[in-house]
Amino acid sequence: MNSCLELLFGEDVLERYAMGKLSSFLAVPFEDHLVICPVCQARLASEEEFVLVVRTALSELELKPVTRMSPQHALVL
Amino acid sequence: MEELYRMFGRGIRYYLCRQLGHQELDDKVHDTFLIVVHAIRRGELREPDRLMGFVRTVVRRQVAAHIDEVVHSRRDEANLDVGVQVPDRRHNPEQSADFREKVELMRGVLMCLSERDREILTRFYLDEQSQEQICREMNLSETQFRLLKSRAKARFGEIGKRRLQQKPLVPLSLRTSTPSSH
Repeated sequence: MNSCLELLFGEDVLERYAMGKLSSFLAVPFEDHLVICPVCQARLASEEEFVLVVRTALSELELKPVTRMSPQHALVL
Repeated sequence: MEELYRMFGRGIRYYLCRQLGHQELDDKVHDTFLIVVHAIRRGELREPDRLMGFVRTVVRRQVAAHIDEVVHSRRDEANLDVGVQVPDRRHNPEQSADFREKVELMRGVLMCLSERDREILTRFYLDEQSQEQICREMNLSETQFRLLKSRAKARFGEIGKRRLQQKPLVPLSLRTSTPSSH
């Protein structure tokens, strides 16, 4: 079930996508795959949640505003 | 049609929602299916193996068409903000409280890290510095950098699981929890 993208799109790709930093060269095929892969949808949702939570927590600890949030972070998990 | 919904419904909804937000989502999903079904009935899809690719193409065209439409209608209407609106994921009080709780737990995790480790994560997640820059300036190997990130993620996953198990019984306090054996 979860064998599909573990090989094609690794954690690094997911992380960069979640942070809005993935190049369109990789983002386009990745998004194409997302349409048909519930496993990767779930993986991405977890990654995005982590990024958002860690950014907020860090910003509170550092007393810095959370900056340059990509539009992706405003979207539903 | 039902079979198509079963196969692609969730993915199409997910993709459209990410790209365009919640507004009229059901209609957009339905429209996408109608386009696919009509194309199949017209015999435009001759090779069944290509169905998946065809659905992807239709969805991407739908997104492009919608954005194009928004841009054009905004050009026609003065004094409107530019940019496609996207909804906040925390759209109800329960989700906000849940998010707040996770942030508090994460703060606990971060407070347990050394100042240096916290700086590394701050540079990466908050200041958005590149991995290369962080490793160079903080004298880290790529492996050390990756390890720190995976530990933070693992810890977050762990407290999430623990939180689910403990939620009905006791209020969470990360600092009283047992450290991970990893």
